[in-house]
Amino acid sequence: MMACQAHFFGQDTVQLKEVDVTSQKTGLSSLGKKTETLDSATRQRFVFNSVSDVLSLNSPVFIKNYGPGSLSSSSFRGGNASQTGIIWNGFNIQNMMLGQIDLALLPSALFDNIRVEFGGSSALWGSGAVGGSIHLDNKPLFNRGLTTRVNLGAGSFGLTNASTNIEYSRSKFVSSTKAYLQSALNDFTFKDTLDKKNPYKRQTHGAYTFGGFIQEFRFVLTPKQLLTVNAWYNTGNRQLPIYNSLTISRAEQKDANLKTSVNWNYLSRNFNSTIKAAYFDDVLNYSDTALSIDSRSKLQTVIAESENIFNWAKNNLLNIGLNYTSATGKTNNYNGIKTLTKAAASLGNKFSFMDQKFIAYAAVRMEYINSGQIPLTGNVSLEYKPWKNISAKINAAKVYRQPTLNERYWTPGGNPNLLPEEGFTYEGDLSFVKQFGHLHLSASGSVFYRVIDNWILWLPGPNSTTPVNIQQVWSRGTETNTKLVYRRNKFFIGINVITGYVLSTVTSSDQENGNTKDKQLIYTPRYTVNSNLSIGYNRFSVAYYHQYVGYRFTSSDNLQWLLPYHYSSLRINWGTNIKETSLITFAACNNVLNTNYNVVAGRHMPLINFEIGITLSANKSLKKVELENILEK
Amino acid sequence: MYACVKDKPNSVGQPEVELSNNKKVYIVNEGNFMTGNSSVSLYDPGTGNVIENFYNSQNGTSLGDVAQSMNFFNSNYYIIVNNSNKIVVCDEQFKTKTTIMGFTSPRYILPVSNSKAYVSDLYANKINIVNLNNNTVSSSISCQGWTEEMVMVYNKVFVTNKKRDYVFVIDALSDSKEDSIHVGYNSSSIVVDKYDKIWVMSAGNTTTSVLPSLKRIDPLTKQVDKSFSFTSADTPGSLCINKTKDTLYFLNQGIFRMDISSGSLPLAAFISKGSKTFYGLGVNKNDYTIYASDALDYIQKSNIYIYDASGNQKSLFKAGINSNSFYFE
Repeated sequence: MMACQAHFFGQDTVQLKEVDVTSQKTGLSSLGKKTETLDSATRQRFVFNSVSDVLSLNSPVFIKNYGPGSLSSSSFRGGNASQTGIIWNGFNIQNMMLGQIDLALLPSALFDNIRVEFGGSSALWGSGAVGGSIHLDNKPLFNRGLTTRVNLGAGSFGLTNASTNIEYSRSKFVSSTKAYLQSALNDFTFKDTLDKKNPYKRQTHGAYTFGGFIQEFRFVLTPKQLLTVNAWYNTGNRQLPIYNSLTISRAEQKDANLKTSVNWNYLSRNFNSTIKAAYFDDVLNYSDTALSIDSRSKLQTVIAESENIFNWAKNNLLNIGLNYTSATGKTNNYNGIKTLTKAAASLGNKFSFMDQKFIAYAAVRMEYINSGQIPLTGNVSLEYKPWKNISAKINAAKVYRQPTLNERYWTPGGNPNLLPEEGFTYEGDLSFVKQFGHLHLSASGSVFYRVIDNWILWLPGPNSTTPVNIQQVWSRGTETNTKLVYRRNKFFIGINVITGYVLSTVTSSDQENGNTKDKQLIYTPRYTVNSNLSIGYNRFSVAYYHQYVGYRFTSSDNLQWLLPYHYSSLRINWGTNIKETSLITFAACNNVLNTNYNVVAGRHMPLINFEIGITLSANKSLKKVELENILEK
Repeated sequence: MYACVKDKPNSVGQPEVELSNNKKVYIVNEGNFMTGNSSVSLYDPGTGNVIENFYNSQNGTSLGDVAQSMNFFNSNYYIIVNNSNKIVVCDEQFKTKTTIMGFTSPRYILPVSNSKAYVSDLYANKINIVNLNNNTVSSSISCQGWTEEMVMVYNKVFVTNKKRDYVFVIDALSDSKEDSIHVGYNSSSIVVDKYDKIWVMSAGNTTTSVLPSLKRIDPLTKQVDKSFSFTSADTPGSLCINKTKDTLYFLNQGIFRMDISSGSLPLAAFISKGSKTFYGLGVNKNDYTIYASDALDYIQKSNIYIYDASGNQKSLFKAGINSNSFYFE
C-alpha cells in the first residue's frame, strides 16, 4: 500500500489509471496492522468457493460455518461476527439490522482482491471494525483490452458452478462484468454419532441456489478525475435443513442484496479527494410453510462519504473524512419502521521520518447517532522498517460496535437503551522476508490484546429474550504465518503454516451467580492451524491443505464442547493453452481424511467429497495473450 | 497473560450421590435449540443432592432437542421434547418405555381420562389427542394459534393460546371445542384455585400496545369474573399456585405473590430479582417452597433458587441449560 501512496504523490497523475483508487482510506487503515492479501494462486484454487471457504483455509480467522451453503460468519481474534468490519470498495457493508453478513453468500470469484486486515479500525471504518476487517475490492485496470473468463465447475451432492468475467478495458474507460450461478442439492451423507444402530444418514432439505453479478464502469473524465459506478446484486435461495432427521423441514430462506455506488476521485500531486455515495437494499425472508411462518425483513441503507488526503508538508499526509449513513429497517417484528442515522467525521495524519524507516499514523473519529451516544474513537499506529528484510508494526485503537436495529427494536425483547460495545485494542506484528538463492522465506508473528466493555448478550426471560450490556471480555493471543518456497526454473515447492492462539475470556459479568468468569467464549477455538504444501512444475500444481481446529466450547460455563477436528483438502490445477485461450483444469478432494466433524453443534458436515472444474480465459488486442501463472508467485 | 492453556478441557463427571426418601423435584432443561442437549435434572430436597442428566444416566442416551415440559400420570412420566416432535414415556425408574410420535411441535400434555390425553402445540393449529392405551396420536381437535398450558375443570379443558385473545374450551368427553373466552392476547400459563376458579396470565402484545393481564374465569359460566391489568412496563408470566391453592405466584422480573382474594395486583415483588433474570417458576405442591430458575445467558447451566414461604433463599444449585419448568413428585 505504501507503493500505492507513492504513486499518488510522487509521480505524474497519469499514473492514476494504474493505481487502486478504490479507497484511499484503505492504505491508511492498514498502517501499523498485519494485513494478508490472498495471492492469485490461492484465488485460482478456490475460484469456485465462497469468501468463507477461502478464508477458512488460508487465514487465522475462525469461520463459524453451519454447513455447506448455510450461514457462515467470521471470528477475528476472539471477537464475534458483529465485531468484524466487512468493507466493499471502501464502504462498510455490515448489515445494520443483523450486525453481520453471511460470508457463504459471497463467491470469491466476484472480487478482484480479497484482503484481511487484523486489528481495530473503528476510527476509519466506524462501528464493527473491532477484531479485524475483511476487504473485498473490485479494481479493474485500464488499457487491458478485452478479457473474458469463464469458470465451470461441478461437485459432489449435485453441486454446479458457473461464473464469468468480461472486462473491456480502454485507456479512459473500463467495463467489468462478473456474474455467477451456483446450486447444489447438498444431500450429503453424514454420520450421526448418537444413533448407534443406523449412524449414516442423508441430509434432506438442504438445497440451495446462489446467483448474482457485479457491474462496474470506470471513466477517466480528465487526467485528474476518475468516475466509478458500481452495482452488485446477489440472491440466495436456501432450504434450511433441520437437526431432527425424523422430521421434514419446510423452512426456507431467501436473501436478495443490491448494492450500488458512485465514486468520484480527484487526484493531484498534493491533494486527493473522493466523493462517493451508496445505496444498499438488503432483503431477508424466512418462511416455513409447515409452521405457517412468513418473516420478512428489508433494510435500506444510504451512505454519503467524502475522503480527502492532503500532502500538506514533506512526509506528512493529512486525511479528513466525512460520512453520513442512514439505515432503515422494516419487519413485522418492529413497532413501525426504525431508522438509525449517523454522521461521522474523522481526522488523521500520517508522518514518516528517518528516511521513511518510521511511519506513524494517528486518527480520531467523532460520530453522532440518532439513537444514543457513540464513543470517541481513535488509533495510533507505527511502522518501523530498520532493514529491507524486517518490519515491525504496532497499533493501539479505541474500538466500538453500535447495537444493531434488531438489538434495539425487535419485539418482543429489543432494548433501546443498549450502549455500544467499546474498548481498547493493542497489537503488534513483526515480519521477516528473505531470499536465499532459490529459496524464499517469509515469516511473521503477531500478538494482540483487547478488552471490550458492555459486551452484549441476549438473556432469556419468561416471555422473550432481551439483549443486555452484560460483560467485559478480554481477548489476547498470537498468530504466526510462515512461508517457505523453493523455486528453480519451472519447478517449485512451497509450504505455508498459519497458526492462531486465542484466549478470549470473560473478565467480569453483571449476572448473579453466573459461571462465566475467566471462561473462554463459545465457538472460539484456542488453537487453530492452517497449513498447506504445494508442489508444481510448469503450469501443473498440487496443493494439500490441512486444518486443525481445537476444542470449541458450546456453553459459556465451558462445561460443554465440540471435539477438535482435522480437515484436509487436496487441490490440483493444470494449465495449458489452446491457441489464444488459456485453459486451467481443476480438481479437488475435500475432507480427504473422511473426518466426521461439526463446526457448530448439531450441524452436520459432509464426509469426503469432490469438485472438478475448468477456467477458460482469453485476452484480445494487447499483443500476446498474457496467461495467468497459476503457480506460486 | 499469554501462557498456553491446554487445548483439551477437563471433563467433570457426575459424582455418586445419595438420595433420601423425600419426594423429588424434576427440573426440565430445554438445552439449546437445534443442539440436542436438553436434559432432566433430579433434585432431592432431603439431601440437597442433584443428579444432572438424569434421563441420560437412566437410559444411556440423550433426550432430544428442546425438552419443554413434563407430567406424571398412569404411573408414567411424559416428557415433551418440543423440537424432536416427540413425547418420551418413562416408567417410575425413568427408563424409557416408548416414544409417542406424530406431533408438529408439542408443548404440554394433560390427561383427560385414563385412556386419553391432550397435547398442545406451537405450530399444529390443533390439539392432538393421544390414546394412552397404545401411545399413538388417535385424532385431533382444531385449535388455531399456538396452544400452551391446559387445565381441566368439570370435564372441560381450558387451553391457553399465545397467538390469540382467547382461552379455548374443549369438552373432554366429546373432544369438541365448545367455547372461547376472551382473556387478552398471548396467554400461556393457567392454574386452578381451591374454589375451582381458573386463573390465566396473558402477556399482551407490545407491538399492538395490548397490556398484559391476569384474568379469573368461572368454569361454570365460562365468563371472566375478575380482571387485573398490568402496565406496559410489566412482563408477567409463569403463573403458579401453591399447595393449598389459595396463593398465586408469577414472574414479573422478580417473583410476585398474590392472594386469590386480593382486589388488586401486588405492587412490589415478593422476591426481588437482584441481578438475576428469572426464566422458570414452580411452587412445590408438597410444601410451600418456591423454585425459580435463572437461565443466565442461556448457554450455561441454570441456577435454581429455592425460597421458603417467607421468601428467604434456602438454597441454590445448578441444573441443566435453560431450565424452564419443574415437576414436583
